[in-house]
Amino acid sequence: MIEQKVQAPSKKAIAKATGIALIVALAILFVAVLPAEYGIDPLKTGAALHLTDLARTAQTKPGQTKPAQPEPEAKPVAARPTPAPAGIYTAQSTTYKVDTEDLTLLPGDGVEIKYHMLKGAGMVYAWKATGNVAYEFHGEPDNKPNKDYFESYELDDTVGKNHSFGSFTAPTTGIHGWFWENKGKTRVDIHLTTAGFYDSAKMYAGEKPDELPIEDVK
Amino acid sequence: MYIRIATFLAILLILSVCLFPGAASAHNVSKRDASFVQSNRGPAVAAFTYLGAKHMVTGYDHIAFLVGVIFFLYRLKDIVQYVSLFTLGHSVTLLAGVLGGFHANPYIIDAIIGLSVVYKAFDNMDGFQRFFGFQPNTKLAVLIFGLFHGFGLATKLQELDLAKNGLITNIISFNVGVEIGQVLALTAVLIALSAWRTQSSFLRQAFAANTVLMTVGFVLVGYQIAGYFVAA
Repeated sequence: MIEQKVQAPSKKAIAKATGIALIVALAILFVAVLPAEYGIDPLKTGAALHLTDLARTAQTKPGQTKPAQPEPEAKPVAARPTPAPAGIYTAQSTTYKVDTEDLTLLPGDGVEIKYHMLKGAGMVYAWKATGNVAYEFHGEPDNKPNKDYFESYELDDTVGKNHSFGSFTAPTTGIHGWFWENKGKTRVDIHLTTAGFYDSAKMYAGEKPDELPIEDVK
Repeated sequence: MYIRIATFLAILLILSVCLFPGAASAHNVSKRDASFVQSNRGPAVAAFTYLGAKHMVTGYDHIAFLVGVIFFLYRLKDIVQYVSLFTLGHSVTLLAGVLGGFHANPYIIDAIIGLSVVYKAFDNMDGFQRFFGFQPNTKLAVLIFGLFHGFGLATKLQELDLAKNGLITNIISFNVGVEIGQVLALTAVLIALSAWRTQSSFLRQAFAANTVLMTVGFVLVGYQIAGYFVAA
């Protein structure tokens, strides 16, 4: 099979090449692949190169820690609160905020984005995904009876959807937003855009929520 | 002349990989394809043939192994022999796996496929002769790794919950597609290799190229092993 070789490589050269291949492979794995794919970052190179951002939403693998969002079926779903006073418009003293988020969900991952809003404040939203994702649009009032309490607005935890657009008026003062979960077998990218009278945004992908920067509309 | 054809084919291959919506991915059947496979409720020869071909052309671990296999094969007869053995191996386990319902952990199978790349690169460096004083049967090795590859594919197809109606037709179509994809990928690899071999620097660079190939194999192994523990 090997027809022409000028000189067969020496034992030493083969051992050296194998060693180099192994060391380079380990370096590539620990510096780049593991941080980017799984969020495993022992050398902190993933954080330095912002590679862990790729895996940030992927910190919840199947069977691993669940997202901060409690299981929907495990929680008492409260009765619909009385809607905010219905008016044609609600004037505000400050301008509204805008926010855009791009999220990547690997199979089995979940992530949550929530905005803090006062009761009666409005928001318009649009999200699109590259595949179907199970999701729940829900909120947690600042004053909640117990720590697992939440209110569900819209739920699709079976087939899922690849987009949702709408407008929203906060029924209570608290955090309101979406929990998405990739129940498929391939990665899904989600693009979320919102504009509204919120004052902060948080992302829940692991144990602790991340504060997201938001900005005033120009 | 050779170089021009090789460049053209390489560009063609890269373009076709880019055009596939799922882009290059080791073994995954992309989401859109997955939902097609699941919603499909009858024989669909062309669609499954296409999916099989796409799987092969975009599976970089598979291509890495084939590069290793044909690296030092010069005669067409040899290439046909080795590739046929590989085809036989993966066809057997693909059919038996799906029809017989055998199941294996995909991370372990993919790690073994990564290991096959390392094995072949080491073999190409003459490592077995030098270190162990014997040459393992290269044809047998290709057949065995072929069996693992088909097994991995079977596991992935099973996850998709295939419809019973038209199952055999669809699996055979998929397998035919896999062979078509293999011929396409091989043609491109072979033409590039042939062009490279005409250069006097080939033999000097061959050793380095196999070191790089081995590195790719080790990365694939590590990636899959880490995936196994993360998913566990």
